[in-house]
Amino acid sequence: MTPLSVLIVDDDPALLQALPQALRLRMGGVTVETADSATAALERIAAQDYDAIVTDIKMPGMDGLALLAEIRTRRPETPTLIITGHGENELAVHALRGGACDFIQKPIDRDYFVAALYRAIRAHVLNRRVKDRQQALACCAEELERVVQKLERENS
Amino acid sequence: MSQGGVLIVDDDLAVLQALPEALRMRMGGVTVETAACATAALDRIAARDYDAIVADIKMPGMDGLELLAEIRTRRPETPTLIITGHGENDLIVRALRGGACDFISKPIDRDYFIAALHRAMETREARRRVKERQLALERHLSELEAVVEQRTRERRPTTKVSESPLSLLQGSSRQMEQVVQQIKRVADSPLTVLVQGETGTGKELVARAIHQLSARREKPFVAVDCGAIPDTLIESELFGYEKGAFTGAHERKEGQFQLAGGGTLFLDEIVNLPLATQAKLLRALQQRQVQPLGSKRAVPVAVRITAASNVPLEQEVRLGRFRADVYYRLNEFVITLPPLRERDNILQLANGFLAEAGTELDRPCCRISEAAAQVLLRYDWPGNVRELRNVIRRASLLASDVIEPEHLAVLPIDPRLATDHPQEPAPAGSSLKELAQAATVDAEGRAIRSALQATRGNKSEAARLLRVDYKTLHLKMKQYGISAGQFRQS
Repeated sequence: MTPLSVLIVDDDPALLQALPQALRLRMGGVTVETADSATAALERIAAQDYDAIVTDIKMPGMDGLALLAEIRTRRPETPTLIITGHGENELAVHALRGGACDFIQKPIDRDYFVAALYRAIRAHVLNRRVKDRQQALACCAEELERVVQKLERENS
Repeated sequence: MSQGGVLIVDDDLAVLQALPEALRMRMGGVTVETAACATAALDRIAARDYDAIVADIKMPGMDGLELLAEIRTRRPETPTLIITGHGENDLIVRALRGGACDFISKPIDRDYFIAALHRAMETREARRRVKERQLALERHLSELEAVVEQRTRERRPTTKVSESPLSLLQGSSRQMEQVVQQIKRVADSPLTVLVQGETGTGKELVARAIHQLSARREKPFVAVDCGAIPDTLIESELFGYEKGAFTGAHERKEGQFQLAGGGTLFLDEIVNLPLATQAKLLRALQQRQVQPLGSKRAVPVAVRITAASNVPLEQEVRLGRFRADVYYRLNEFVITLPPLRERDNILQLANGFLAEAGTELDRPCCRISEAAAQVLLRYDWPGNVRELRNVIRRASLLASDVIEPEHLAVLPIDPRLATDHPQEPAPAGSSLKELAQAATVDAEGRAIRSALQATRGNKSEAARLLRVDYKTLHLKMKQYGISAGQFRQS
């Protein structure tokens, strides 16, 4: 199985250093990539299908909400978590309504962060499993129809 | 259970009057019901599966957030919208995180309200369609598989019958070697045999092997799945009836006991026998005679009984769901089949099934890759050997020469992935929705369990509650390894 991959987007270099480390420590085998702006993030997203994306809501240029909307269009299945400032509930409401699967308040509680990310990824993986299985079963049915036809021909 | 409609929950009588009217005017044909408090709403939700629920967040007693949590537990697929005061962002965040699909701020903008409700109902409808398509696909696949099995059986020359009846059970497994020795020992004795083992472990194969190796092999082997026959029909099925014994008994009919005359009667899933029928079975076992319904005379029967159960009968006896005297009669010789996950020959069986699929389905695929083997070894196999055979046959349809992990996408989804761990904080907004969607298939098992709980193990009633026919329910129960006996009241 390919390892899980997460993209973290933030304009704060300190966070971009600390969060990946925390994730690697607490979620074994996870690959973490970072982007310091929404534009840089979009380039990465075009090239890779991440298992989850975490983005700060307030960034110069394109902000987290605009990035979220882009992710929802380009990679509608990728779960996205938003980092908000403490008490920025109005923004959090916007983010949740805009399709974020959860938000994390600053200062970031590492345990909460890892738990939320884990939940999001699990839902994503599960969704993908359901789709893969559906597709596989449809292929099976198609093949079996061929087998049945052949058997009928031979029996008649 | 009635279907559909919208439920509005608010303690404000003015809202309860105005909103339904607005809905009826703008959404043609929608049924709107109201509840003035969360408790009343829960009563209604228990009785009806609404398309959407709209609840005020602030209500005396149980509030909207608590109600939301209850709805997420009891009806996880019903979209719920929350009405909040203007600017109550704290509460809104909690509602969205708690699984509300959207919120409506007071004063209520009717257009926005209708649009949000529409969206919610459409999403739910789309999800329902996805689930239906999936179930239809699974049904179609099972039907095709049944056709193939049937055709292959017809084509196969009868020489197969003379093949050792034990060959299907062997495969160099230490545990199975023991079972084979037990079968050989008991086959020609007059003892009643009880075969225990999880669903799909091959209990019927054992019963057939015993019959084939006994002196009765030329006489009939009759298998009765006690779980597949409704409680009301089981006695006439087993013991037969006289003409006029009950409405619809137009002519005399022999029961399975008589039909198996001189041979073996295999009572599968015996734990499903109602207690009253168990009493009659006891008489048959003790006195070797049965009394057909409507008959005054007992008929002697000379059959050997083999019974099977997918739950340990001893435990059912302790719980008062199975008669101890019947158990002791059946218990003369017990063969216990180990579940597949405890056996040491999973890969060998898999290769056997792959070869079988190769000939029967005319597939070129002949090998299981190391990575795929690891997946097979890690899987839990709740459906045991039957499930393994199914999975290998399906995977062989997808692979061209080697079975790789991606061909094992046909494996059922691990329910542990779909269920939330209680110690974790509740998943938020759309991730829960996604989870609910993905977990639908696994939720089926849970729905069946709760329906059986509600009907105290009555499968006919449970089938009605779940709006499926009896046979479908029975098949699903088998698939998920659920037995109705567990839900009967002691």
